[in-house]
Amino acid sequence: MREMDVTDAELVGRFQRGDREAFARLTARWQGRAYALAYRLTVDADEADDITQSAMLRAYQGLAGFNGRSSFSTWLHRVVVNLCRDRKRALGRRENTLRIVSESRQSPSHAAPAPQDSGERADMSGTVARAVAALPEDMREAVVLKYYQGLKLVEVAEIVEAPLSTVKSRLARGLVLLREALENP
Amino acid sequence: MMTSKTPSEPLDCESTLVELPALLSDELDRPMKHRVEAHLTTCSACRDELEGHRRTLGHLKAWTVESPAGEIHKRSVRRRRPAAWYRPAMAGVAAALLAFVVLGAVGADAKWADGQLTLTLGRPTDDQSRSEPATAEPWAPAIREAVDELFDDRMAELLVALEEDLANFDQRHEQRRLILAGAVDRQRNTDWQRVKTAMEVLFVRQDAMTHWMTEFAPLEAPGNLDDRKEQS
Repeated sequence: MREMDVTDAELVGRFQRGDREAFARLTARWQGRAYALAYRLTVDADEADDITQSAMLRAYQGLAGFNGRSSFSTWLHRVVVNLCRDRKRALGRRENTLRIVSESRQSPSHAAPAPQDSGERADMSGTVARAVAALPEDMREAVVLKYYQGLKLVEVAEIVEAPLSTVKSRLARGLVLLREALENP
Repeated sequence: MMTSKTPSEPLDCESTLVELPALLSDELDRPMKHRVEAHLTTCSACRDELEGHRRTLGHLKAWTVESPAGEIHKRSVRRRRPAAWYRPAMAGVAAALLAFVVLGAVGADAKWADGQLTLTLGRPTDDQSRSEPATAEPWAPAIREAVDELFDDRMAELLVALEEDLANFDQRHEQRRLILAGAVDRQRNTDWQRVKTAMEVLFVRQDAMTHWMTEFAPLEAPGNLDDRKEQS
């Protein structure tokens, strides 16, 4: 059976029946997206590493009692978002802002645009990163989950634990703020 | 928002704008989609907003993050090493290994005798060679061979990785130090400006007080009034 033929739910079920390999496959499938989410919410490679590992650890510890009410994807996304929120609170607003601005300007190598990209595109990448990082936290979460993680609105609402109408409002407002930042810097 | 609760009524601009992200991702149910589209046909401002959102979504694609699948554990393990003891120890091991190899290559000889380490550099002279034939230390070629074997590509790779790791660590450390130093400087400047402003206010008040005391206080002070009464 090919890798993509096996659903997350099947892998979760196998893991709950004691198949450790199933968790390895879940990790291989999801850790990249978990990292991308953590990186875009924190704009810090080290934080993203830590958060991704913590999320996978929580998944390992928590999957035994996972009841499947939401999908594994939604559940993992919520774990990452909550870890990012916790980390941000721990870091404090002042230090976080300094780091976000600084590191997004430095554009870490693993997050930088591909080498074949033009300089203009690299500049745009940094500009977009700063614009997204400058959004209020609730809007940033909605924008990243919707437009970078590619989730549906109802999934975003479930992850951030907010009504669907609230998520729509955050996205609408967030897109306006991003446009102002990107087109009228 | 009120209009969105009654499906037959047309949407106003506010309700339409909230629904635009859902329209863009095609997540509106059919009735709501018709209402939003109906509003857009009559409202150029909302159409402009929709176009603006489309442009913004296009811009967002520029921010790519390379997914480090399979790399997170490796990178994190490297970064999480206890720097206080591990790095100097590894650097020491690497330096000792390099020194051993280099000294061996130049023909250095180290001997420990009578509590002293004697290091002799250079290839042995002919006399020395005659007096100390190669067979005198039969284990030396074996050790050298073993070292050569150890110092293969994998070891070179390890040293390169170690060097790179140390450089990255130093670079990151320096970046954080600069950020923190900048933050401290800015805070110091802010604090100094506050103190300066407070001092200026204090001086102004002090001047005003001095002026007031000079001009008015002698007239109003009870003692002075008594003096004037006595004089009169």
